[in-house]
Amino acid sequence: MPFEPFAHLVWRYKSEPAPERELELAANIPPSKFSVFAHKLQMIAMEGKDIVTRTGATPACSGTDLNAGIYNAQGDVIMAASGVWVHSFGPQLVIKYVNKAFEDDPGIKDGDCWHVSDPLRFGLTHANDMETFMPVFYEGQLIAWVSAQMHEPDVGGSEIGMPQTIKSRFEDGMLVSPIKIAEDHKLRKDLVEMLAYMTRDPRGLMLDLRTRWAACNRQRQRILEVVEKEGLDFFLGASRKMIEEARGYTKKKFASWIDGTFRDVQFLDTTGPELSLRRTAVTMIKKGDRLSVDITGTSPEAPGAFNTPGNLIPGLLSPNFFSYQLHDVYPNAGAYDQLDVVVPKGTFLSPRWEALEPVSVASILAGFMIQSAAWRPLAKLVFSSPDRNTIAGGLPASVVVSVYFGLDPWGVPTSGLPMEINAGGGGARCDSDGLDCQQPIWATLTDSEEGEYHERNFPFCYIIRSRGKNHCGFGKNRGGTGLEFVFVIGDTPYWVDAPFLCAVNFPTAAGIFGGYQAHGGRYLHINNTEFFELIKERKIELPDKVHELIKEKAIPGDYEFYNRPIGMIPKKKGDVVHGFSQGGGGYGDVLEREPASVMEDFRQGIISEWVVKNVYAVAYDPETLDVNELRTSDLRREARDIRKQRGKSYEEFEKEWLAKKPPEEWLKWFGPWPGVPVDGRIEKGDIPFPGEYYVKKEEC
Amino acid sequence: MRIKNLVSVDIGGTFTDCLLAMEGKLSRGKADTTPYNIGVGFMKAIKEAAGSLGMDLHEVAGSLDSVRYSTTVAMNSLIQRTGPKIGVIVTRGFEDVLRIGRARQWADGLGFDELRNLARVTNPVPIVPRELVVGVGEKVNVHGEILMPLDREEVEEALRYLMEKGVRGIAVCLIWSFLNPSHEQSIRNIIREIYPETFLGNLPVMLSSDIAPVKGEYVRLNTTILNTYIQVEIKDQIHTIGRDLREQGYKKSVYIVHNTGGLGKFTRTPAINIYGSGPVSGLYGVSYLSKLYGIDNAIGTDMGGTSFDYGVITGGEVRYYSLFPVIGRFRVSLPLIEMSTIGAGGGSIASIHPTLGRLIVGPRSAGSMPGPVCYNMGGTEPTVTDADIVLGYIDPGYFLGGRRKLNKTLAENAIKKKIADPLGISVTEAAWSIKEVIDAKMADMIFAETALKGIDPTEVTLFAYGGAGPSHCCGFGDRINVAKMVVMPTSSVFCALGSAMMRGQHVYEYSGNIALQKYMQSSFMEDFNLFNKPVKELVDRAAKDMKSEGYKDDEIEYLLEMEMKWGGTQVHTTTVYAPRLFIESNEDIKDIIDAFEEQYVSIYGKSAIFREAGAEILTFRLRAIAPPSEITLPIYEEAGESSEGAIKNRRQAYWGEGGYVDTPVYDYELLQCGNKISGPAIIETSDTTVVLPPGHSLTVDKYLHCIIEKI
Repeated sequence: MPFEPFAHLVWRYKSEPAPERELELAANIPPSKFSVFAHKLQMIAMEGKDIVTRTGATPACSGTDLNAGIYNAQGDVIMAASGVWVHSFGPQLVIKYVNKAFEDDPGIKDGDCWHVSDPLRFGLTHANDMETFMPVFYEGQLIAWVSAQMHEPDVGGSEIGMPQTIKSRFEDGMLVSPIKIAEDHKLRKDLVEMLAYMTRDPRGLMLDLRTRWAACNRQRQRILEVVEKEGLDFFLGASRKMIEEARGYTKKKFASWIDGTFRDVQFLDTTGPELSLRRTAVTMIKKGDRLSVDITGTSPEAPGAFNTPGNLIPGLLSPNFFSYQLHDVYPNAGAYDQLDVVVPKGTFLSPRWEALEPVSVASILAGFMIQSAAWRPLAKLVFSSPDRNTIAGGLPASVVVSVYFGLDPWGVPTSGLPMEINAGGGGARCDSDGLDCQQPIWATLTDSEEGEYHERNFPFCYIIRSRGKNHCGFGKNRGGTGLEFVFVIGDTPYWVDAPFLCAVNFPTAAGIFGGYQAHGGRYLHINNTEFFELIKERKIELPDKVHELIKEKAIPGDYEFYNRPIGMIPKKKGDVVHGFSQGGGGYGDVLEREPASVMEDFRQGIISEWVVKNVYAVAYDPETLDVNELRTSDLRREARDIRKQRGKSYEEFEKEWLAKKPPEEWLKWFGPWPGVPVDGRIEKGDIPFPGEYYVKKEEC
Repeated sequence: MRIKNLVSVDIGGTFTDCLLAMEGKLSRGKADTTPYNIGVGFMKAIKEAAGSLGMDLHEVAGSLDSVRYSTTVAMNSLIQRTGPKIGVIVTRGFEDVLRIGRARQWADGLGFDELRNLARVTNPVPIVPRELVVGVGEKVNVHGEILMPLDREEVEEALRYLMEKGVRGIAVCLIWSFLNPSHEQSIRNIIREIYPETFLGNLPVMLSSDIAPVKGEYVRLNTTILNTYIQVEIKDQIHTIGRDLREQGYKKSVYIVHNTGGLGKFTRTPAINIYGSGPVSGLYGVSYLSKLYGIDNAIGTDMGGTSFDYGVITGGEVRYYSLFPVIGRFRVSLPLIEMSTIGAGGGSIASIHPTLGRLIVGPRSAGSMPGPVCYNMGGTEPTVTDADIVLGYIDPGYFLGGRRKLNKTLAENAIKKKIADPLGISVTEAAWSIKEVIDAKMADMIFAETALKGIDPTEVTLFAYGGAGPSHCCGFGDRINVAKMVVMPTSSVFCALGSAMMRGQHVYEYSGNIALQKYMQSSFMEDFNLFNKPVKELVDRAAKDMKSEGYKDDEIEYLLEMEMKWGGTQVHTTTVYAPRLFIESNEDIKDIIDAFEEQYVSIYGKSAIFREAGAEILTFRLRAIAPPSEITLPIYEEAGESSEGAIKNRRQAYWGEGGYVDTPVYDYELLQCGNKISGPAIIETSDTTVVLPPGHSLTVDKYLHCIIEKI
């Protein structure tokens, strides 16, 4: 753990107590000047984000898996740019730690630039998401911090990219505690080179470290310009008002929603090295103007890559709020003052430091379970309020791609992962379908790039890039489809592929109000093909959909399906790789979907014939694909009758349900079956330790 | 080929504005735009301008050396979806390319505020339905080598399908076609063979390798589809203009402003280059004036009713391209001249956020219907124009030269009810706050845009045009401390002025991967031909096109731009001007890398340099530029500093801490060269109102432009 006297700081998502002076200054900021300041601050953070986007080398720059942020002197985030919110919220914890732990040695000075990538200690997403932060001094006084964050494709672990089958954090890539990579406004080239050459892509990291530093420098410069123009008192007062405003806004929002307790579970299907069912439990209690999220009941930690730092949980909830219900407030620490997150110790979403579980690799994938599990409780909580139009089905947290490393088409070492991961389906809404290929759960405004981008940077020959069939969550309004892709390894002397798989067997995009959860699927390699020889002579016809490829075995070779991480696999020319991003969750009853919309989905290859008939109960003319309205009406009536016949009392259902149990081998890391009771105090609706995170002493 | 007599027309959504230069004299003409046939309004505007010089249309047309125009017609066909049914042929397996996009296409063309609520975002409505996209088996790799040959029968089958669906144009976009266009060309040949023009009439077949020969199948296809769509839609309308002019005796070519910069003959203009050419003309007007005034760095700002457009000039030239070029809501791969837009204009609505309790201005707009509350056309939400009236800047009886009467009481009541009372402040304070917020918003955007180009905003000159621009330029200009502001009260023909001063120009691109220097190596690329060969090909193409337009070899100027990046996987590129067209030595290569580094540092700062990574060129962009016209602005004689004679009345206007002040109102038409005015003052024209706050001086220069500086 971080040095014990300061350990509590890396849990402090809420804003620090405000100095009286700042509150006084904040009270005197005129409304119009405050509006102007808030916009200016947003532009500064956006400029920082623009710099990392435009100058970085990591594929995250095209995928915009990055962000920038501005913090007050105490470390509370006051402005996050856009994109991956958690990237701007995470650095709060590190800054708060550095403020205290390194205050005297090595000290915090003007011209410093700090770097960190140790997730378990500092509540970061994973080692690949490197954070850089810089103090802003004015006339010798620390007045703010700024930050820049980007995902790196490789951090030098025992497996490329993000190791998934490891069992100890010491097999992971570099885990860097906060260090100064720049002093006195000069970059420490020795440190930059050391960090870079601990990875498989030193050239990329060397540029990216400069990129983050440049983004911090620019934000610092802009803040000082504001202070010069408006005065320090104005800056401090207006910064404090940012937090006060977000808190006030969140209070009003929460107060406008109904009080109640809402629960849900989501399941992860792997520890990394092993397949195992693992439960994420969420109990959401809304009372007055406060909201509590409790993950008690979540499965225990396990020796594998899929564990997430507990202090990251509040940050992981940020997309649920700031991209939906709290979309019109500037995202900052003030909003978290109204949110209490209860994290028991020893779950896979809060592993113990002393257990030595790796958390810095695929940890973030495990973490997405909390976002997913919070989806339905939030939808229920908000449904009866005017904020109903901020509800949508879940976004996909499943990952079915690979990470890779080798020589690019120009003979230079490179590493990466398919940006198609960013093209998950959007959740269905109350009045419309989800958007196809919209985004993943972890970020907004991400970019999946184009096939030619990947073929230029990696030795790939894409043969399919299409919307997935049956990927979306079905419903009255369907979720968006994900993106399915197949590429063939081309000319390269060296290539390694590591399937990057999570929630393949138990997909994660939540369906709401009767809508279906989106579907999963397997990851596929086709080995030992003669692909290039065959297409040269046009001896095979290439399919345009993956299901045709698999069904017809359109490319002769050895078909290998994977449903869990298996480490690194060397590949050779002609080997085929398939992956996809999952669809979004559905909304409402499938039997209420317009039959014409069902057939349009069928025409476009988004759903199969089986789904048309068996899920949506639609009858149609097989020649024209026109809906047979009469027959459809009959089919749907029959389907409803069957539902009624299945109906039973709750007691009957519970008796039957509790008698069911998954196979033992799936429960190895589940924890007690069927589960632990929810903490008694929570059950009564009390919120423990308002303003603090509650860590249970006993393990699950 | 020097141009002396010309007519320049800007066909807007509402008005068609014309600037006529004839034997050293300038005149203006204005007519309603006639959407049913843009040629009608076009000719009417010229006729009016000719009349001002005592000439008739026939007389003018016969004397003209050049006719050029910009238009928003293409935008309208896209917005209204009145274009034809387009079929698309792609590489098999990529049929969903338009639906997949780049995942974030839902955000393309929208402002930040419109993107936060993910439960409400929408994708652009596709121009081509999925059923009209067909795939054909073929494969070309990243080096342009054919891996899988095209099959004629398969192409024929795809064509039969599309023709049965009734398509009126075909766009073809195959993977890596710009590196090896042979498959796309084969498809076109097959179409021409099976469906000859005599059979099909004018069915266009557009190849992505011709229209947008750069990387990225989604943006390349979007560009190709839009080009096909717009061409089929507007060709007849554009033809009409040429025919009408010839009937009046005009014998030369008709030129159209390109959104990529410069002018091109109508017959050699890809339709997509017309889109948004009006605002680009305005920026070229700023470029012309910058050179006239000897200004290096300038910002052109156009504040209208609903939006605020702005662009940057450096070295007196239009040099910047959109990082993410978007047409409508479709990402394209064109070097679009960068004109950024935010939702800020006279019609921007002011409101109090229901939960935050904070004043919000824009991006919602009252538009022209119902418009601001003071229009008395049913609007109930206060706008920036309403605030300007309350503050005394706009005379309700002289808006648009008195053509529209405004109701100040309605504006006051709306601001009181919706802003002042909820905030607990006076109506005047509320109106002032609305002005402050909208001005700051525009200032922040300009600041960010200039800063990201490595330009110090405090050293630029700001040109303000558009209906609301002169009223607010001191507000947003002061916030970024611009050195000087220039206001052209004749802003209605500013875009026409821009195209009048524009030089003929064509733009050519080549996309490749040229490593000038490799990672951690001190030596440079050895084979200079990797650089020179593609540049030579571009120069040859350009020379051929320019000569066909009547220019001689020695009249053509070439400008080579390069999209460069550090070696490796750096995602985005930086535009660099090549010090020379061809390279002959290692020194030449070093000069190029130095130029890249210099440009990079000016934008991102020294911190981001990584010289050891090596340097690569991904795109060459060649501009072939024709000689400038000989048109000049008329110069007026010095008439002394006193402007007393131009004061037409006085009224109370609010100036922040100074409160309401009895403020002189000047008639611009009566101002003369050399006149000086100290703020506070208001200068009215029939087009706009110049608002001059205290602490500012205004000088009328020899072109009768207003030069505003802080005292």
